[in-house]
Amino acid sequence: MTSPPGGGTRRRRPIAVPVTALVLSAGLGVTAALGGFADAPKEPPKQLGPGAVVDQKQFLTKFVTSRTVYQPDEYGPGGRRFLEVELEVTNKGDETTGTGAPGKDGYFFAKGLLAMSPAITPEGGPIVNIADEGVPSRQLHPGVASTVVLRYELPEGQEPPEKVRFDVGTFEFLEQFTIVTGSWILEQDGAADDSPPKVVAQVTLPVERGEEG
Amino acid sequence: MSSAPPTSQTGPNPVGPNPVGPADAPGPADGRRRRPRRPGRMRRAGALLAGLALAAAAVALQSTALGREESSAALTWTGGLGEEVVASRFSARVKGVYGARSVQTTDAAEKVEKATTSGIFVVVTLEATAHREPQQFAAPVLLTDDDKRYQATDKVDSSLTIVNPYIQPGWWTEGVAVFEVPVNALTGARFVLPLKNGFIGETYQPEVEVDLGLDEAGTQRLIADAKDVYPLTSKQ
Repeated sequence: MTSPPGGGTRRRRPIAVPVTALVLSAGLGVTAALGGFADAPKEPPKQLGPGAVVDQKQFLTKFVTSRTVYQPDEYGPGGRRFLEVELEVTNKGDETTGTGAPGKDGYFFAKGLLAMSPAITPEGGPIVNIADEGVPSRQLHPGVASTVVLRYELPEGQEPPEKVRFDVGTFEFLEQFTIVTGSWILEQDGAADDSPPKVVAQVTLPVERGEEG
Repeated sequence: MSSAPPTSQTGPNPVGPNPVGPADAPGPADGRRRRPRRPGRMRRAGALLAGLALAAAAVALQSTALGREESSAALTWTGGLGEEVVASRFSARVKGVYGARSVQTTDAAEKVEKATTSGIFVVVTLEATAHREPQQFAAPVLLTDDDKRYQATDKVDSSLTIVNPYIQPGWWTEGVAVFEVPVNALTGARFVLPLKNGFIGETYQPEVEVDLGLDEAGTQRLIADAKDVYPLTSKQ
């Protein structure tokens, strides 16, 4: 692309390179000024109390109450004490799912209760079911609001806490491109594969004292 | 590789140092430099049009792609209430549909339990037979008009339902399936009977889907005729 010598045409100034350089440096400058490529500062989870409703996308969950329950032994003195947490859960998905189990190794609905503080860890985890319809059920049917109760057995001699706090996560539907249908998974906090689940709310429930044995 | 005959004029490249200049490539006639021949305007428009058409066709083809549900679904044989629906490995016939406010179960140990619901229990009575090998069913599903899937309730012990027995070839095995659904999910509901999936997880298993005939009137009838207590025992 040499110009003909003598210059019958007007000589063009080479501007593409300087303009590109200018645009690039301006872009970099603006990006740097806005905080670079780091993650935006995270929103702190909402702090909620009794009666709070958290939208977990797959579920709409109302944190109703927490209480202690004493169950006398059928055949003698003494008994067992439990801490119960009552939730009202509506399955917003398209199919029946289970109440599941809370915590890191949890599954189904209760997996969305990421952490409990103070943690009560009965052997085998708490019993999570829907107990108010004659026969206990562990199914959450679509479009149905169910009273889900988490029942933690308190170890002998341990005082129940004044209040319990739950870290609540949220679910997202993961489409799959295989013949397997997608599934609901916990939304993560960050882009990396091993990011911890995102805590959208922390719900604190005062523990009401039931009758003691 | 194939050498074009020398008389060819359709090659895309200049065919020689002195191409026959087409009329639409007017250049300075000083002969100082010959530009490579450009394709004609019509040809470029044609190529552009063809490209656009291909792109549009590719986009249009996406709309025929199978959805998530369709691409993973089981092979479904459909039928109506009371019909014998013959699937590849088994046949099933839905005999009746009943509503119930509560279900009372008596298991083999004579333990009586009564399950209640905020919605309604739907009891489907059916019979099934296998064609060659014994089959066992997975939890049946009530599929609503808006494609919500209600799995058979766990408030009724599965040993009392159609999920429990092996379905043998040669005779018909009777059983029930019990669902717990909100009342507004009844109209247009279908009953889906899938086979139990093995450890490996076979895809495209046969299933039977039966329209329960619950139109508006049928739904009203089911609700009005709902029994207060539907008894279920381990003994037939």
